[in-house]
Amino acid sequence: MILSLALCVLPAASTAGEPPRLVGEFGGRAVSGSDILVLDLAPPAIRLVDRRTLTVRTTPLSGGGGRLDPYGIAAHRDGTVSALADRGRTLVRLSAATGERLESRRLPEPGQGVTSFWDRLGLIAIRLRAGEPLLLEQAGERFRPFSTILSRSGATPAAHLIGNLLRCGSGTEGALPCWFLAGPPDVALVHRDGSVTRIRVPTFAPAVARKAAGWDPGAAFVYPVRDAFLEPGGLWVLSNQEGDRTPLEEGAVRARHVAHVREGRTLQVIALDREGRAILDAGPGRLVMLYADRSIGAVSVR
Amino acid sequence: MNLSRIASPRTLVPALALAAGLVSAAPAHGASCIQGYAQCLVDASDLATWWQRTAAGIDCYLDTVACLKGAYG
Repeated sequence: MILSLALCVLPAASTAGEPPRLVGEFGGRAVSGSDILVLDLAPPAIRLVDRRTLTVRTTPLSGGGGRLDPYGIAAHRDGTVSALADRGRTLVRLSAATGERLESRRLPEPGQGVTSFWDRLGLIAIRLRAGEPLLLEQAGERFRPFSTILSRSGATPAAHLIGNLLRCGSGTEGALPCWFLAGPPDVALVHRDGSVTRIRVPTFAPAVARKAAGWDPGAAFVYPVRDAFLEPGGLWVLSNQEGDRTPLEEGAVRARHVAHVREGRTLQVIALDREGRAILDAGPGRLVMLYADRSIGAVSVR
Repeated sequence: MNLSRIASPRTLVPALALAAGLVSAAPAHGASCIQGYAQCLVDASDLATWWQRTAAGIDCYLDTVACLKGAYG
């Protein structure tokens, strides 16, 4: 389904006349209290974005060690954040206040993402087989399966690899949105008890891939969702692929719309004036967007 | 899950066959992570010992996950 015709698409109104706020390489975000914590990988830093004014405070990361991965972050109540490093092999704990790398430990198995399952750390696993749990929760020194989201099968090793890329966005006290990068336009709301509710979301990508598996296995998929942010007023979804061309193809258009979905209905669709990278915050009256050009801006919504 | 499976002789051979097909058929503009994966496996297969090939094969896989997440995420 290509949604766009039936809905009124509202143009985005970015806040004008403000200094640029830049994030070099987006590594993940967490919203807590009055700040949005953004992990920036280039140069490595924690950027605290004031949710009201959007002013940015930067704390460079220190402590050496391997390069952090852009695989998300898990914020903890003690003021530390966890991220992955070394291509998902290592779990790193950082001080949000000082940027110091406090701890690094090798994971029993590599991860493709890290997130917060409320008071616990969540790991998105890398799977070589179908039917295995993709989400794990930390339980002491170990990780155990969490939720019913399982790895999918692929016709070839490459298709299996692409078909099991999973991300999780920002959630509420009740649920966390997660989605497969490749596949139908669904977002899975993972609840605290591990149950999952699948939400159909608007997409600007075709229902099926333009090409069958040809030279590029990635072209056999579509990539509808780039980011998701759940707040009490509903689910905000940043589109990814728009049109026929997948993100790796020349001339590809991506992430130009944000849709607001609640109780199975699409309430509004916001057209962005440039490519979006992530939804940093969502609340009454506005979104805070990180754009692909590395800038941060507010977008008015109704 | 045992990531070393991907570099075992049983799976490396089909992977290399896949790799050969991908490398020869890919258009020049394709910034494809899968092409990189294919070439990485080809390079890994040239290493001297099974342990080296296994370790390199795992590296290839994790690098490809990183590349794909960067490209499509």
